Amino acid sequence: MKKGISCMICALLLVGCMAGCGSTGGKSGSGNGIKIMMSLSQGDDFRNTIVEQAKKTAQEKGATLDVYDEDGSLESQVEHIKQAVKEKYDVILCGPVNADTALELESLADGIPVIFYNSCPDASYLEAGKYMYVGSDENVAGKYQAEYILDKFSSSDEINVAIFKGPKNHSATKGRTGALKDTLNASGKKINYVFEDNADWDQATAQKMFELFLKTGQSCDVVACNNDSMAMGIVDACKEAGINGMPILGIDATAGGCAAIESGDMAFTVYQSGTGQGKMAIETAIAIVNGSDVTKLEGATKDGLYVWVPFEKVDSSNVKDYE
Amino acid sequence: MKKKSNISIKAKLLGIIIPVVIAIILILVFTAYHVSSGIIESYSKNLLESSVNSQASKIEAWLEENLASMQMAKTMIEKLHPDEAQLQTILDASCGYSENYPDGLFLADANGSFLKGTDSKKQEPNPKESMWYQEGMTRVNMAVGSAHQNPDGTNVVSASGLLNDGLDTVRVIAADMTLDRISVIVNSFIEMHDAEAFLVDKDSSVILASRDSDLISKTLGADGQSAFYKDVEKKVSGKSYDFCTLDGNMTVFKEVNGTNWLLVSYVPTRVVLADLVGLRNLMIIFSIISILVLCVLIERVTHVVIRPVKEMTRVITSMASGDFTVSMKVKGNDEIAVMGRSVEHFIASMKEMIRQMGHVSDRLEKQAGSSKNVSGEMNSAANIQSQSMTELNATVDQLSVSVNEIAQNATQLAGVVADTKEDSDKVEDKMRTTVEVSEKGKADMESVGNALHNIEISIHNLEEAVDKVGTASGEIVDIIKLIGDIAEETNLLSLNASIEAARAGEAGRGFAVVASQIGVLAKNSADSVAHITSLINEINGLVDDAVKQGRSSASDIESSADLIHTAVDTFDQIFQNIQETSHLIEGVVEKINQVDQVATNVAAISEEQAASSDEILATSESMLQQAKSISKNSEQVEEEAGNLAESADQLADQVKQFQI
Repeated sequence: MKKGISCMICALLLVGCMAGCGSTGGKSGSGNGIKIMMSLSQGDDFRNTIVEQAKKTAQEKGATLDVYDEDGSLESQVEHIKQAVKEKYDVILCGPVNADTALELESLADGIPVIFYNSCPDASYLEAGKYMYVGSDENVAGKYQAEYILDKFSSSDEINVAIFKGPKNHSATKGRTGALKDTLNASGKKINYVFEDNADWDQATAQKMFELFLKTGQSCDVVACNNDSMAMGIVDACKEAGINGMPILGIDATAGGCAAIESGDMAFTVYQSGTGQGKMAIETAIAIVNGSDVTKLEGATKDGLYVWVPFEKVDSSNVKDYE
Repeated sequence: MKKKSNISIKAKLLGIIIPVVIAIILILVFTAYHVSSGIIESYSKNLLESSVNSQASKIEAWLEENLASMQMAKTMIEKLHPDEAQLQTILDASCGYSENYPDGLFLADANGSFLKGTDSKKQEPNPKESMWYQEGMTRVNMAVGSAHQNPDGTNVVSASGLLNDGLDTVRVIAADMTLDRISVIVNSFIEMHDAEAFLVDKDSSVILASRDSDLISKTLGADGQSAFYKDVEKKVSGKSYDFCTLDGNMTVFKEVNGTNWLLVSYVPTRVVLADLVGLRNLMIIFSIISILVLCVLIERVTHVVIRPVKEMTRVITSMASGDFTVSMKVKGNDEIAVMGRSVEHFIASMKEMIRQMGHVSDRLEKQAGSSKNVSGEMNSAANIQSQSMTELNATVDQLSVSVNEIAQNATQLAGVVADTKEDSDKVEDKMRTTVEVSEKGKADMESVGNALHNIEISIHNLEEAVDKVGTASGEIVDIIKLIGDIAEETNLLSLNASIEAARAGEAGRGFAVVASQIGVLAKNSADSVAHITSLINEINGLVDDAVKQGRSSASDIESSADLIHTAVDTFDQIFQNIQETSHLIEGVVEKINQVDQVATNVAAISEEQAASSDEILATSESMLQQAKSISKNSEQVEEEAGNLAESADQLADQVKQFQI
């Protein structure tokens, strides 16, 4: 009797294994004939880098990639997701206009796997092998900035820091700022946040805000920005005000940012590998469609929710490598 | 031996079923309780998390709404560039615009001047040093700062920001929201029943909002607060905002976007599990009732089911004590009824069987009696046979002894005959020696004859000498005469010897005497010759006489020579007789040999006979043994027959015990 039951269980397991093999086996790595839709929240330097690399990688792998720029419109993004369902795309790469809408986007995709990039939805909306995020761990970027500041002012006990942030609810804003402040606070030095506001990634906004800050007459030792564009705004403000030598930190290592480092206007940026993200987005898409084990992907977390593309520190010593 | 007490089937069934039922119910209750507790806890956790998320969203929205309205007034001021009167109008209008910041908006500039609405109760003696001003200097967009106390003692959080109106003088616009107001707002957004929440500034660990107004604006984990707050403080300072159970409270943390605020919501685990305890108690009551009902039910059912078994037990017990007069009533058609019918059938067949057994045992008893008699007779016959065999054996034993004696005697006889043969062999040897001696004697006789002849010659010579000498021949004649005498006596003796020899047996001895006598005679003869020689010497002078006498002697010697020849012939005859005697003795020896052979054969045969008689003895002894064992066996048979008879009696007694 017992034997019979165990035999039956074995048989069931075997069948299960074989069924599993059927779905996981086959053309791992090859993207032949896979149809991928890429929805882009809004084009900028960095996002365009991602898109270009994604196109290149898709071509190498033999996958079809169609890119739609939503130009900041959530309605347009929803429309394109619906279109993807209608036209039976295999997988959707989505740079969400608003990461909080991830759940709605997933349900609109009607079972098609969605890979988010650029803006990270809450972890509760992610699922291994189905709804994943490809990007860089924003915390690391903030941490790198803090480490640069602490290194630069290692002899001072008190540091006056101005912070320029991205949009209020953007995941990158929260991750970068949080890690920056946590790392600085943990140093044991007295850190004065002399300015902290959301300049929404924008160069001109940041410039205006910093000009207003300068009017208050508070002293500032260093400016850390959530991206290079805002850092460039600070550079502009400083130039007008005739301030020299104050370290200005950005993130993304955009062409402008790198040039500013080269010229000495900016001190530090963090290279977020747009090419790496574009490449990994395509590879993750292909792995999901082929049913491969996504945790085996380079940079994938053990829970299979994230594929992290590493950041790199950029300052005057190595800026030439990133231009 | 300890007597086993009887345990009824009912007790056994109840003893097994009731504990099993109780165990199953308990396991069921325990498992259900455990699983339910897991489900409820996980459900409560999810509920609490969703409650805190929703609460945080509502707080964010509430804050956003207020900040937006402030931002709108601020933007208006920035865009309109109002003069002082207009600005005062705007500030007046902001007073009472919202319940959340009843004192409205107020302004301070870098020169230390302070502007507020006319109805505003806001007091600010030193605006440039105030926290809201300091905070406002660090941002352009309106945002909330840290908790602080106004000069009038109310705990507030200020929203403030730089006024970006393009003027050279820096101005900060702000509004105060009281923590009491925020507390009411925060706690009215709690969704989960029985859950509590409080708001903490995660940088300064100051409690911004709580139902317990004593805690507001106090530092989290300060002296006098409960262990729960101290545990929360550890979590907050460690920046670990995962779900956890602290001091018996399920606790969740949620950061409020756009602020430094951390919303902490908790619900005591016992409250969550209160329903579960109710459920558990209900289940325990139900299980106790169901166990009792089951016990009664099982007791009744087994009682009804087992009743026929009891009846059957009574019947079988009677049967066991040999009473087959019992019978049982059978109802129904279940297994027990089938069993009852089988028992009834069994009783009937047993009755019949016992009856038959009674008959059989009677017959057996009779047969056993007769077989006992027969075996007794057989036993006595066997005893007699055994006795006869003993006697026979004694006889054969004696016979064997006799035969052995005969054999012994025959062997002795053969030994005697062999000795005799030896003796006769010796006789033969002696005979042969005698023959040789007689042969020698014969030869000697012949030599004597020859000597005589020589003497004759010598006498003739002597006669011639005597003729010349012839004196002492007379004497020599005498001596010769004496020699003749001797020869005569020798002859006589030879005759005697021949006679003795003829007597065989003692012949040897006789001849020895004869031989010695002959030796004596010869000696005498020699003496005589010596005497003769001396005489000759003496009678040299007497030669003449002798010659004369010699001449007469010569004739005498011639006659004695004849006599000697006759003696030789006689000797030959004696010799021939001795040889015949020897032949006869050889024949005797041969006969004795034959006798020896016969005696040896007789001895051998009689020995064989003795051996045969020994075998006969052995056989008769084994026959005796067998006869004895037959006797013994027949005794056993008799005994067994006795036992059989006894057993038959017992069987009969046993059978009589059954009542049919």
